[in-house]
Amino acid sequence: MKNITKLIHLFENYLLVFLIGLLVLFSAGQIVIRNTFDQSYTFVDPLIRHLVLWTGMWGALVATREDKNLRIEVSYFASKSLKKVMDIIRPTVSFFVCSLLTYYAIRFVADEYIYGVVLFGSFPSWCVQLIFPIVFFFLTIRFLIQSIKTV
Amino acid sequence: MTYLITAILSAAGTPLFIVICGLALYQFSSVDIDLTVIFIEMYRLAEMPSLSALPLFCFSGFLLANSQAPSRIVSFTRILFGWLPGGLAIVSIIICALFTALTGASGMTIVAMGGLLYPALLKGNYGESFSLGLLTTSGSLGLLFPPSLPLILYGIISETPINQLFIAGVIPGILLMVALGLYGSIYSIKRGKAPNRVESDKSNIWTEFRNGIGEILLPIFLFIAIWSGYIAINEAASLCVVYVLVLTTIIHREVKLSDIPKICVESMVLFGAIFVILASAIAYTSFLIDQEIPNHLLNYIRDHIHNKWIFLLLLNIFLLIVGCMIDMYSALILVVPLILPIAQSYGIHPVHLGIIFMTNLEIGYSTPPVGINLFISSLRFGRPIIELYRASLPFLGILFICLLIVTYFPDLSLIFIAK
Repeated sequence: MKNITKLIHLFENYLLVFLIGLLVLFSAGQIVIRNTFDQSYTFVDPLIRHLVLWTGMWGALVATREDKNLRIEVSYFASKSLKKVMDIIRPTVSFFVCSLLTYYAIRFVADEYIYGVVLFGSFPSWCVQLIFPIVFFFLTIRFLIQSIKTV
Repeated sequence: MTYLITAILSAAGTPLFIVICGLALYQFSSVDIDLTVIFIEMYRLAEMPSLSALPLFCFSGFLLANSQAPSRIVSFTRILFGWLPGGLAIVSIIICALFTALTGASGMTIVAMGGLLYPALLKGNYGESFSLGLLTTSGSLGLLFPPSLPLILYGIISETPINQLFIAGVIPGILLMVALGLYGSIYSIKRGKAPNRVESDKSNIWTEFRNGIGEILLPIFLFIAIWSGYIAINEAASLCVVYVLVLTTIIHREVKLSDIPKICVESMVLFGAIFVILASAIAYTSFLIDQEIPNHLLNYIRDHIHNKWIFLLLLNIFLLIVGCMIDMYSALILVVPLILPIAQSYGIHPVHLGIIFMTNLEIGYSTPPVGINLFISSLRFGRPIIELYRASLPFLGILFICLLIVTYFPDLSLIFIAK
């Protein structure tokens, strides 16, 4: 089980590295090509914007794993028993919200698929929007595990 | 009731994006709007061209923080300003501002620079309380200089030109630094007992100058590039990453290629945490706009506050509290869409409003009882929080005066901006 978890974490990390690598490559490459060869490719700008979307959402998944999500910190002043209650409430509510979000993210992508919306050329938009259900699904699992552990 | 539950969940430390998404789910469903609207709104983030500046600057900031840049910047700045009375205090202020501008307001300044500067200040005969107060309040200084992430975020949310924001931030940013620097000099002169001035080893001056120039020039180059309008902010960000990569991996060889994946992940964790709040807030804000809540708020405030100057004073108090309670990124994402239309109705320029926001949030970070810098300093220097409250007070007093000047003299921010 430990090995599987390690593998998942490794995959998450390297996908993030891959995404930011592409982001740097395309955004810097676009400037070089434009200034050196006086050319620009129309697909690059939307590609960069979607890479930002993917990097951000995937980054959020890793941030949850690392417990680095932004939150209001008032727990410094809470008593031990209150902290324990907070520790149970947090992942349970998060699990509930994320499972609802996963369901509506799937419906959103399904709608886009049915309407056949395209991004650039004939590339369908639902492919890039898949990041929403994927990330929220994994977040749901992550919060479920956290809630089980705390209870 | 809904807002009470939201407040309790937030106070329990639930991730803010969960709280906001939960609120959006509940409130959209209460007015019978299909909940897929949340993702239609979130997807709008893929239409914002400037947004790519955030992950790229975030990555370059983390690269710098993982190199020897902190000690190189310290050596360089000591050569330039160490000879002044209160030189080391001035050096600390400049270093903190520079480092915060380069790395964003992630609390890294106190952690990375505190270890170098705190012992140096004590050795330089500065009192313990003075040194702690100085480092705590300087931990978020510099947010008005490029490539400050929070200022870019404000530009994105408020749809204000980011280059104008950086130009507007220069004088107020320098004002805050000069005010703290003057206090440092006066403190140093009053304290009298040398060694207040920092003597540099003259034989190493050229080496230290050459080593540090790469980082020092970075914000200056960025400012010129953005100011001249030659490149857009997202292009500046990608050039910045390439520059920092070359600087840290090839020129100084301080970051190994094998370390880069780890730095990528660290930096994208911060970006991801910001991004997901941005995504949830964009969905929730659309509900507020749909229900015309900003308009109701505007009418309410206009009915009760007739004077622009009183509005600004109340805005400052409100933002200080927000800055003290919530991290800077969430505060901007949540508050800017609500305040911007109200401020505009009082004739406040959006660029000036951005500078007011930044100044407030950077002071709020060190404001008792819960300013995050106080806690970071408490952990970093191993001091009780109460001691830090006391140590920060004189510095906060000076910063409050600067805040009032920045607020009530809009020309300080707008002098180079076509209104």
